[in-house]
Amino acid sequence: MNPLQKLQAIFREYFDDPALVIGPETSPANLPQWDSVALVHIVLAIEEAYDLRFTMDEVAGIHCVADLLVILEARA
Amino acid sequence: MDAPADFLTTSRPGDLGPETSLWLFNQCGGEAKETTDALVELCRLHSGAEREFAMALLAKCESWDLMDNPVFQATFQAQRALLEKTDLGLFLSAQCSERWGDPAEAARSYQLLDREGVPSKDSVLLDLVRVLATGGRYEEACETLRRAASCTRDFGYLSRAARQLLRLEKHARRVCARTVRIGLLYPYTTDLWVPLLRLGLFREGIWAEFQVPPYGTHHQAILDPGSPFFAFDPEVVILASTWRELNLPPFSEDPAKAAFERIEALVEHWKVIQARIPARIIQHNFEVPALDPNGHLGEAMAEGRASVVRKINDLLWLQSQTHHVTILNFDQIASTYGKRSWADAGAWFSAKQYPAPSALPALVEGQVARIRAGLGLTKKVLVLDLDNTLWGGVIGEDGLMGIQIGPPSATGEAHLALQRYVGQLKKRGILLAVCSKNNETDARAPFLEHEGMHLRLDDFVAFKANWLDKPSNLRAMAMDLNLGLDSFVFLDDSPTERAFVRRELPQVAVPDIGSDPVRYVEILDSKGYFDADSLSPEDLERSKTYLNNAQRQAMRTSAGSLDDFLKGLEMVCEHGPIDDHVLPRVLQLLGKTNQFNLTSRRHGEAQLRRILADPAAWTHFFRLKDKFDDNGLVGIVIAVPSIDHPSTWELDSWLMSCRVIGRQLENFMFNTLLEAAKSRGIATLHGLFSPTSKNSLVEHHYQALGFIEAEGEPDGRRRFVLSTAEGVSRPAAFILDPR
Repeated sequence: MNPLQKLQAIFREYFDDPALVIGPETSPANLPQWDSVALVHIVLAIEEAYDLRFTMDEVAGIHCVADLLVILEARA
Repeated sequence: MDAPADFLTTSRPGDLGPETSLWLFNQCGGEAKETTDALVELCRLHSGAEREFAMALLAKCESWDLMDNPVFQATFQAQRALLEKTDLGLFLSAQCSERWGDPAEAARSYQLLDREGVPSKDSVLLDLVRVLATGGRYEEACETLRRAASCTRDFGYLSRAARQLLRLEKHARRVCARTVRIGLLYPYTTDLWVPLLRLGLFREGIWAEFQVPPYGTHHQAILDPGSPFFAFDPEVVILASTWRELNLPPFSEDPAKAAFERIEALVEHWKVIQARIPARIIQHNFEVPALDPNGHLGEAMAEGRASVVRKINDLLWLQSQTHHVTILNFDQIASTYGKRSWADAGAWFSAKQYPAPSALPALVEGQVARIRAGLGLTKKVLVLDLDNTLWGGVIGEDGLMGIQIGPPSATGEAHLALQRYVGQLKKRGILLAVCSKNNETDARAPFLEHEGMHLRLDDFVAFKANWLDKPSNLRAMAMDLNLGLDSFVFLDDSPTERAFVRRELPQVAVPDIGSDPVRYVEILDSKGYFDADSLSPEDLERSKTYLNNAQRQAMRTSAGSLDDFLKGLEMVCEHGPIDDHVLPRVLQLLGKTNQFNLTSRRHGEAQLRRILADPAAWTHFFRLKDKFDDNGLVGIVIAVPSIDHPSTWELDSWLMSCRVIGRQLENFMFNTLLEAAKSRGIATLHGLFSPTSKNSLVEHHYQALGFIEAEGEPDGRRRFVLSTAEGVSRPAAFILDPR
C-alpha cells in the first residue's frame, strides 16, 4: 500500500467506515467527524502502524491529510 | 520466466512471502476475471494472512476501480465458495459483501471467521458489530461488542469499540441489567477516558451515565450545591486525582504537617459530597511520581516528596474506613503498569492527557473492579479447566506420571503457582469448580494420587469431567449451585473453548489467558474479578457451606417427609437489629441477592446508614445455623415508617440468600416482623413486589403470608397490605429462636 492508502485504512478503521475515501485535501473542514479527539486517536494509530513517534511540533502542524503525508515522507 | 499468474498457480503455500505475492498480484491483476483468479490463488497460498495483507489486496482492487465493476462482482461471487475455504478469503468476501451493500452476507462471513476464535483475529469482532448494526440486528451487535470489549487491553482497539457502543447506545442500555450514574471529578482531560470506562462497565452488564464537569471546574462542582453535578444525583462519585494536585515541593520542611493538610482537604471534600447526596465515593490514592529531581533521597528522607506521598496514602487508607469511602489504588495500578510508560509527556503537555492513552485501559480495569464490587457484582465462582490449565499435559494421554505439576519442571512450577493462587482465592470465599473434557476417573486421579498437587477434590464445589460441551456443563453447574452465570469466571487454555463459552454464555467472564502457563496467574490477577470491598465471616466459610449443601440434599432424599427433614436439620436462627458488625454482609446481600428479593433495592452504605439512623425504622438481620454448618447472615427485613401514616410500616426490603430457600426461614422472619410491629403499635404492613427477570420465585410471597393485594403501580410493581391485628404467625416450628 502507498502511504495514502495506508492512511486511508487507518481512517477507515477509526471512523468505522470501510468505504471512506480520503485524499491529501481531507481535513476537519470536509470530514466533520475529524475532531481533536479523533486526531489523538489517528496519530496514535499511525505511530503504531509505522512504529514511530511524532514530535509535539509535528502533531501541532497537522491540519489535513497532506500534512500527515509530508511528515511520513520526511520520516521515511 | 513464467507469467505472474502461472507463478501464483504453481506455487505452494509457504513458497512466497507476502511482499512477493503482493508484487505478483500487482503484475497480474487489473482485469476483473484475472484479479479474481489471482485472489483465489492468494487465498490458497496465504490462507491465514494478517489483516494488513487483506487490506493491501483490497486497496489494490480499489485502485484498479474494480470494486464497483459489475464483472468483478460477478466473477467474485462465482468464486466465493472457493474463496471462503480460507480465513483470508472469508475476510475478503466479508469486506466485499459489506461494500456491495449486503450486511447479512457480510455478517455470515465474519461470523464464520469468528468461529475460529483465534485472538489475532479478534479485530473482526468490531467488523461484525458494524455489519450487524447496519443490518438492524442490534442485540447480536451488543453481544458481540461485549465480547470485543473483553478480548484485549489495546487502547486503539478498545476506543473503537467504545465508539461503536455510543452508536448502539439505545440498544446497549436495554441489554444491561443495571444502570449507574457516575460523577467523575478530574482536573484534566477525560475525553479518552470516559468512553473506555463506559465500555468496561458495559462489558459487565452495567450501563453508565456520566456527569463530568468541564475541564478545570471540579472544585466548583463540589462546592456549589446548585451545580449540575449534584443535580445529576450521581450514585458513584469518582474523585480522580494525581500527585500534581498535592502540590508538594521536592522537600517538605514539616512532612507530617504537609501530609495532614492534604488529607484534611480531601476529607473536607468527602464530607461536602456526603452531606448532599448518598453516593458511594471512590477516591484515587496518589502515585509516587516516577520523576524526582532528588532521586533516591526523595524516598530515603522523610521530607522527600516520595516519602510524603506514601505517608498521605497511608493516612488515606485509615480515613477511608472512618468515612466509608472506597480507595482506588492508583499508585498500585501505575506501578504494575510501569511508571516510565504510565505518563506520556507529549500527551500531557499538548492535551493535559494523563496517564498516557495506552495506560488508560489498565486504569479503567481498576475502576470497573471497584464499581463492580460496590454494586455487589463481584464474581463468586472460578471454573477451571484441567489439562494444560491446572497441570501441564493431558492426563488421559500422558498418564499420572506424564503430567507436569510442581518442580523440577518449570512448566510444572507455573501450573503449581496457579493452583496456589487459586487456593488462596478459595480461602477468602471464592468457589472453585472444575470443567474438563475428560473421563471422570482420569480427571480425579491427580487430585487423589499425585503428590505435586496443591488443590484437593474437596476444594471444589462442583466437578464436571465429561465429554459434554462446556457451556452445557456451566449451565448445569449454575443450576446446581443456584448461582447466576454472571457470577462465573471461566479459565481455560484452549482458545476454542474460550471462544465457545464467550459466544454461548456472554454473561460468563472469560479472560484471555493465552496458552502459556507462565502468564495465567498474572492475567487472572490483572482482571480484578474477585476484588471485593470488604470481607465478611460468611466469605471465609462459603466453600464449606456449598459442599455441605450436597450432604443436606442427600439427607432430604433419605428423610421420609419434609417435616422429618426440617426437624433433622436442627436449625437455630439468631436475629437482631442491623448494626456496624453486620453492615458489610448486609450491604453485600442487598447488592447481590437476585432471586428471593422482593424489591431489589440496592442500597449503598450511605443510603443504608440513613435508614439505620431513623429510630422509627425496623431493620433486622437473620442468621441460620443447622447441624451441618453456620450459613451465616442470610436474611434481611427493612421496614420504614410510611410518610403519611406513622402507624404503617413500608417493607422497604425483604430478601433471603438462595442457599436457605425451602427451610421455612421466611415464615420465621415474618413471625418476627409481625411481633415487632405489634409491640411498636404498628397497625398496617405494606409489602411491595417489584418484578425483575430473576425474582419470580417470590411473586406470591406476600399472599402466602396472608397479605391482601392492593392496587398496584402502573410500572408493574404490586402492592400488598396486612393489618397486624389480623396477621397470623406462620409455621416455623423447626427453627429454634435462641432468644
